[in-house]
Amino acid sequence: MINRRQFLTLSASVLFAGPTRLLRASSQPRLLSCWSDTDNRHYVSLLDPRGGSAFDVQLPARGHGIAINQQQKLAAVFARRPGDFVCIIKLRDGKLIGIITATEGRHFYGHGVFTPDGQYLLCSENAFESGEGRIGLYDCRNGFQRVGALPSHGIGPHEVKLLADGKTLVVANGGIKTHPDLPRIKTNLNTMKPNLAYLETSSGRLLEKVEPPAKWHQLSIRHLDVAADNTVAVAMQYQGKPTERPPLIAIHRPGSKLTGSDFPGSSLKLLTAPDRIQRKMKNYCGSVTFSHDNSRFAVSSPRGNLVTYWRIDGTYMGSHQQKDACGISQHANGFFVSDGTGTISLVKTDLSASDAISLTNHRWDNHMVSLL
Amino acid sequence: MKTVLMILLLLATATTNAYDFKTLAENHILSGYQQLELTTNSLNASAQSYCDKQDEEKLDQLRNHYRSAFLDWQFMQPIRFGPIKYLNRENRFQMWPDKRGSVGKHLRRQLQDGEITDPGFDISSKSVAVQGFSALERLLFSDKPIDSIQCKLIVAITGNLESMSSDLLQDWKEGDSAYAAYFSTAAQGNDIFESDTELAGQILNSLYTQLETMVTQKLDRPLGPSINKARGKRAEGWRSQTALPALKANLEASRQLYQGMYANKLGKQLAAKINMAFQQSAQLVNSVNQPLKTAVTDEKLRPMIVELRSTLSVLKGLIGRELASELNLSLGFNSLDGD
Repeated sequence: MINRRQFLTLSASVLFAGPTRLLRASSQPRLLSCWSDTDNRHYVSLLDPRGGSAFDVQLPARGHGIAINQQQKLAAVFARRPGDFVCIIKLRDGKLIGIITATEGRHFYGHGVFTPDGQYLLCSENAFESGEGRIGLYDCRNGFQRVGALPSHGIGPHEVKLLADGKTLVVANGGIKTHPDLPRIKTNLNTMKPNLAYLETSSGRLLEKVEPPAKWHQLSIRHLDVAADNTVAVAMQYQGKPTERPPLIAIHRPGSKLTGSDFPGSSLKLLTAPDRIQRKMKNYCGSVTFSHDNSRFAVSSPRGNLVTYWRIDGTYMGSHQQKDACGISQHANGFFVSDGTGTISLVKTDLSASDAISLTNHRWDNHMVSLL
Repeated sequence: MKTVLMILLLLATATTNAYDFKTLAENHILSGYQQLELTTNSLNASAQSYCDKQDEEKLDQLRNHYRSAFLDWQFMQPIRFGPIKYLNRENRFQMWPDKRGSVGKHLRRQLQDGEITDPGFDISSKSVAVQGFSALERLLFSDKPIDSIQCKLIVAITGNLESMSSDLLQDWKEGDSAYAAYFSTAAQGNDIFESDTELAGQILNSLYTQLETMVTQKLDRPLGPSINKARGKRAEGWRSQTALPALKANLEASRQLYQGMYANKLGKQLAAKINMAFQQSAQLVNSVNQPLKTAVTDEKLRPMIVELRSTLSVLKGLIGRELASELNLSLGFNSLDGD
């Protein structure tokens, strides 16, 4: 009963566009991203430089994050927060094999991750009556049935990733409470208290929790990425007045206090770009991604048409300008950066940028992943 | 002498081509918020006076004060960025559209809860749905008599509207971080706006979003797909019969924004098309002589509203696509998202 309600096969709404993509180089990884057209129809697409299996799948509503199941060659495409669906598609041909719908009293919150063995999908969720964050567990080998939930140890969990051990989940608890009665309205801006929580996936037990300093309690921790050495890079969004200038990026190593923290007492190492660049970020970061070799990470600030680049130790490296840029994914020698005007740029290690893909009527959404 | 004249002429041309944010801030935005502060102040005074001694005449006065304050708010609705976004003010002023009936639900809950009579009751910390015009309208325009608990809430809401309005005005014009100051220096770049193009794009976005709201929320929803499927009670402010006056205020404010910012920078053809669309829309709004709630099911009036919707759609396209491309401004996608 439950699995029928939760996992509907809706292959009828699949839309194949055919391999008509224009891409320059042929040695590039395939890219997966959600996008919207100018008539507000929403899709997820795989862009294949070799042209073999590019596909477009129409989504029930606007998409957001994407998780990859390497074992079963599947992608989970999450609805934009607060959402009520996760689409499961085959990476090979884009076949929509089903849609997980949100369980009663829960909303999906835009992101999730598969366990390395491909057995479970972990999704950030909101138990909206209590306002508490949850991590929903879905069994990939059993029709994506919901098999349980863990506490997220905070309010408003957004992006989640696993550490190198494959058993510790790091959660960006944004701290912002929403309720379906008041769609997308942030109901606790005065009292919000975001955190970065580490929890054991087998038990849900909290292993470690760090918060921004009290002064910056309106600094919502939304997005994160994890390097092979477990350095966590965090991209934040400030909910206070735009005339204030909080730091927006931080790094953290679970179980270790990094040196050089600007705010003693907080084990998050908060990073600030040079003044001129920091103000361009407009108190808003959209996504963060580590480089393929884990030596650097990139953070997008779509409101400032800007992407900044940082060494894994938190040293500022530089930036590049790209209109409405948000999605970032790995390339062997740099990053791909997508934007709301339809362009995907390749930004090399020396921060030189060139257009890789440019499509009309495509507005690439917040996040993009590379299948290397 | 000739060179001096040439330079003066060049300067004059340059001035007409530069965006005049300062005038827009002073003549449109600050004066609009000032007006809102005044009318919400009168609204609060009127609520207190009514609740001291309830009678029909004072209720009529209170309802009139409600309407003027609500329409002043509607006039400022196209300014959808800056201090109105601080602390959820936009939603606290008005919770609409309310597709899930949250205003009614939260209002009932708030009225049953005994805390309204507590001396320290602070409505600004309660659900956004009960803090502003939407909840107030339900309280003031119901058929049932208003009891003393409801009166306390009415006074609290009107007080909240007044204090939000004055905070809003203050954030725009006072102190080192006055928002209007960033308008004056946008061309040189400042902490909020990188350039005049950014601010011009921000205002355009705001204007476009307003037109879209008018089409898709304020008209589409009550109109429904056909006369039999029209839903008059989906009209904004149907209880106080303010849906069409609100549209009129939105339209006039949008026209002023367009006029103050972009009109003199466009080619003649596009400017003429936009003017025409504004004029036609205004004529259509004025010619509907019934509240929107009933007009959507009226054989004669419905076609006018349908036409109004399509004229506004055209206007939205002219502004969002043609104007944006002619002036090289962009509406943004990820930058508007907030996720």
